Amino acid sequence: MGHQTPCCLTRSPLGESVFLPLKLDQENWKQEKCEEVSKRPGNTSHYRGPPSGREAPGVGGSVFRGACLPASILRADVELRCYGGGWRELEQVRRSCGWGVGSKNQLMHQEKVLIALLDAPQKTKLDSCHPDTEGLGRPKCCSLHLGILPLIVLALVFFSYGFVSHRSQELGDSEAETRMVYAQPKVLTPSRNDVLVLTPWLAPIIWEGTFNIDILNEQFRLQNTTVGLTVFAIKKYVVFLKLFLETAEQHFMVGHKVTYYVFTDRPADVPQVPLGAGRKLVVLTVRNYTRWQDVSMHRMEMISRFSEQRFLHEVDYLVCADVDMKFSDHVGVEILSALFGTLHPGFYSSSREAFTYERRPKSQAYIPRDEGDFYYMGAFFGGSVVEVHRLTKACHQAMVKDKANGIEAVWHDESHLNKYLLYHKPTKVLSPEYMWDQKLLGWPSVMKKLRYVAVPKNHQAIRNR
Amino acid sequence: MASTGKYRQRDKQLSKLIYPQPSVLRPARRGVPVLTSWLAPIVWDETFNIDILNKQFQLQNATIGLSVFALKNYTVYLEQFLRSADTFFMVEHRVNYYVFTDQPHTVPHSSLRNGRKVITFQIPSFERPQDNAMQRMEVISVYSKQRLHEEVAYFVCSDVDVTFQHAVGVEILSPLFATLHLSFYRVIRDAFRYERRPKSQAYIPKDEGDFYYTGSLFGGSVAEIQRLTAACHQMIETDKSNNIEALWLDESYLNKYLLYHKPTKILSLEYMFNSKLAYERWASDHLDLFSLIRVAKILELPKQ
Repeated sequence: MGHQTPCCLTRSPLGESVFLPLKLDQENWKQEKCEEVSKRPGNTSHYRGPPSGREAPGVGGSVFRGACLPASILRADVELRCYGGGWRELEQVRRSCGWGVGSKNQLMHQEKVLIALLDAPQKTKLDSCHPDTEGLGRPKCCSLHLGILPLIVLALVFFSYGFVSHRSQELGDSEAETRMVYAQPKVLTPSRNDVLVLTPWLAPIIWEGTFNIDILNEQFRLQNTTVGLTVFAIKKYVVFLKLFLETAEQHFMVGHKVTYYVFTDRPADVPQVPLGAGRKLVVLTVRNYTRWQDVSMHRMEMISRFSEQRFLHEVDYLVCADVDMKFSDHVGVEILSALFGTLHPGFYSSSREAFTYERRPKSQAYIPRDEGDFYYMGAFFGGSVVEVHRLTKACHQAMVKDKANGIEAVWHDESHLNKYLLYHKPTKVLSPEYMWDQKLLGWPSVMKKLRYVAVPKNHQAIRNR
Repeated sequence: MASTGKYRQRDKQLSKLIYPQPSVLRPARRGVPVLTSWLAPIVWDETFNIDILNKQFQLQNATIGLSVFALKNYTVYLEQFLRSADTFFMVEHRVNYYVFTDQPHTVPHSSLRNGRKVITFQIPSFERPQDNAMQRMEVISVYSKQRLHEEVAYFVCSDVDVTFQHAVGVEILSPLFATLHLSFYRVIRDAFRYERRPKSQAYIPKDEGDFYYTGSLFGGSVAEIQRLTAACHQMIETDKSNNIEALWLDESYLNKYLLYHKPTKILSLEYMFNSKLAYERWASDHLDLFSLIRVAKILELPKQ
């Protein structure tokens, strides 16, 4: 820019004015980010090849996505030649470094250079680094020779999947996305006029029509999101597992990494369900309880315990679901947030006095009649591992207290869940599309999709067995 | 790999609060978009309960930064800006005002609300007003990298030639937020005044774009603002070396950045109202923004 360095006028402790020169060190900013990124175990993504469909050799057949070059390698004429991958990946890298976004031609050109280089480095010569210089200045010409290859390899080594950065703590979603073409968001006629899509604390309420799944999928894929789905199949409830898992394979977080955590007292009865790529199943053997109410309530304790021990290191988000259900339509990353609950299908149009909250002040789950936002269903809740751990721990401790006081909340873990979510408001709320019973409630017009629905069961036969 | 999602205060919970129950089948406001397709709220009056939000924010116990640039003759706006901000901006919370100016002596020393202070920086001014406008990105990116994260949790960047007329509170806060430009509300995206020359880093093709955001008000967490301003500054520098400058200056670069780093909250037209432009919308396409915008919270002042 060619101007003087800005100065900072601050007050010293003695009250005098002090001039401190501010350093304009953009390069160091990049350096910091790169160092942090390279410390992470490299998450490499397999190179899918250039648009021509050829596989590119070199660097073990895989290249790295995202992140920045170290400052020492950043030179205007080298730019992003030291890189492979599709046009999309190049675009991402450029953006994540804050470099300008190249045109598609520029990037494809650079890609071609790399392929040529990796094929036959000693023969490759580059006439023009910028195919569309548009008559601006002199084209920066560089010839590639073997000497640059180690530099390139070094550069590639510094690449790693840089989008799960320290900022994920605050943002959790938006990162640099690639070009996507989709219809402009409609402003004149908002997507849903018939339902509330925003809570009074500005948390989205998820209904069909409120979200563009392509944008959301990209945001979450950029963070390499892994979702854990916990389900309890105690005693005879193991019979529900097959349908639950099969339909989850069809509808739940398709395209993202998923780990099913099946809590059961009968590990041998867990069915072998074929799983898609990036998805796995973990069987966690736990004790059972005689009373079904105890089985239900101790889920909180078990999820809380395993969150700390295990889930924190394995997944980003946890979804806690009932097993006697099936997925009948898309359930995806639109639900993911720090903390989410689901509207109970029987109470979404009720007034709060009619909610079946625990009404006895002696219980920890007590909610007075003049309080309450929604009635949430105990069968489908979740959030980040940290938040789910907090929730389940708090609910478990509340239930322990109640037991010591000789009281059991009217709807067991669901009562305690509702108490917790009243004073720790969820950051997303799922509409009853995500928790429905078609036999009991039919299919009202306000439900555009039924995504997660009850499977008919004989309560008498299945409980306490 | 584990993401903690949005920051939440450890083990702190809200206290009892009495307010009307939200109605699932009756939206608070119809006729305006209140949620983007990537599930970011668009903040309009009557869609939020400020008591709940205030209680939630108090659990964070954070300070908010509000920055303005006042160069050359723009210093005349400082007094009105600071006085109105002191009356209406984040009233129950701690605020630091950051004033970047070439004439530090013009910064008024009137008494402020308790817990607030003005921190003044001297920066150079340029001959070209465009350079003055665009250096904001560089200056904020440098300062936000240095000490800002120790001082505030959220940083709001505003034009100085505006005045606060109604409460602007924590409903605006989010990791990354931007404000809708009144002149482009309900305009088809190919008519947005994005930079359309492919040579520029700010270029956006005609088939892309969600909204047109104003450069007059944006903000977010310190980390996000640092990223945004650094990226915009980098784009500006790259363009400079290619002998091009985006037509609408920092606003063009801002819009480019926000297309590929979608904001987590959007502020409605209430948050940057301009009566002259609103009248022009009525005259040109009979859009009655005066009745749509029930509360003009921040008003752009006419040029002096």
